[in-house]
Amino acid sequence: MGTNMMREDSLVLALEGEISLEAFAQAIKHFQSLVHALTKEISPQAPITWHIEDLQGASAVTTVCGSSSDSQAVPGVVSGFWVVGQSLQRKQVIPYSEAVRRPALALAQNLDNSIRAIKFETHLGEAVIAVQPQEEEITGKTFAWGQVKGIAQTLSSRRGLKLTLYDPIFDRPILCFLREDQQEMMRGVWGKRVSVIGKIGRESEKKRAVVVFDIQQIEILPPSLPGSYRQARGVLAQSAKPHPEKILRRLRDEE
Amino acid sequence: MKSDVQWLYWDANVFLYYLNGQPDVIPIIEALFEEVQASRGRKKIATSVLSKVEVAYLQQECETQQFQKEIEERIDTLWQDDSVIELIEFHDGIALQAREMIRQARTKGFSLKPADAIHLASARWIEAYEIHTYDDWSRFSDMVDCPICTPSATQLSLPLKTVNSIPV
Repeated sequence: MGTNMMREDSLVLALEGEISLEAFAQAIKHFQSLVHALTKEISPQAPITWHIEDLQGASAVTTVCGSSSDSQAVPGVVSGFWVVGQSLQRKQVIPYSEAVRRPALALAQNLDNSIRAIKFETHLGEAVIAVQPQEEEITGKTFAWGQVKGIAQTLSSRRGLKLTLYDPIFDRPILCFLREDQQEMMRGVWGKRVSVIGKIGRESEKKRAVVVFDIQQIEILPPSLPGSYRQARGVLAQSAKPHPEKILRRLRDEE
Repeated sequence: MKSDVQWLYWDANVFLYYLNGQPDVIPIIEALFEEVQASRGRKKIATSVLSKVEVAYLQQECETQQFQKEIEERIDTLWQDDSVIELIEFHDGIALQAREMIRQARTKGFSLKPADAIHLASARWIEAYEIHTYDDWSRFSDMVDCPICTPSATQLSLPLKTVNSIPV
């Protein structure tokens, strides 16, 4: 549901992944505790009744709708829910009491192999707490800071922001994981040749790049005209010295 | 499919001959470039990013800064032309391979310098079908499982016309 289509009295919690019943039940329990704590903290004088407005099974989307005799009560809690989501997404301190923080953090900690992302949605906007890279995406790989280049083929915001590059050497996908606040970096890169700087994970045997975490920069590389290499022909002619291999040999052999 | 690309590895000195415009060598290099371009991605030239630095070592001997900037831009057109060239990043896999090659060379009584080892390891990493160099690397060919030779082209191209030493 787009945030601009949402009702002002509604809260949405969306879980993404292959959600088990147990994980769903846990998440809903924390969601209920969070809404309850926010209601008590933000609107202690005006009780709010929260009822289920919508349930979508496929992506485990729960929409609850509040009603109260005080017209300010529900918008206050909706806004509080949005602030909690943003704080979790940005890994900032949640600006409410321990009673609110506890279920909020418990919800975020629900991320595992089953729940890959949790989305907090209100009419004010949405916040996504993305999954950390899966264990199999880390184990058996060597990591080092560096740069990979390739064609950006797939962009995805499901289960966290991801960009798939196809490397020009092996034509294999390289999965690049971005943080939620790096969405801007993905803009305009589709189909383009880009360089990604980050922590590169390589498979243990062939050492092909397979994943990139902690991305620092994504740069669209300037397109080159096929045959433009000819502009470089003879460019050093004025300073040319014979036998470049001898000059390079001296350089390489220097102790 | 791109994964079926045949990789021809070039040592930095091959590029330097091209940049120097050495008349006796240019037709061969030009013919190889054209052969690669005509293959429409089935064949490509690869080199380590180290070649960029080694080329810059010679480039520094150019006279003025303004001249250098212009030269740099023209050299960059070579590195950026991905229709013919791919640069191989230096990474842990290549470092380990290079280390192993240096060790192997020592047991055979050769000295393999780090820069040479990085080039050879890069060529091995991409499984190059042939390595071209004007240096004497023949003693290392069994380490890379492919022939090492000086560039040669089956079909030599005609030399390009030049105006004020700029090819057109």
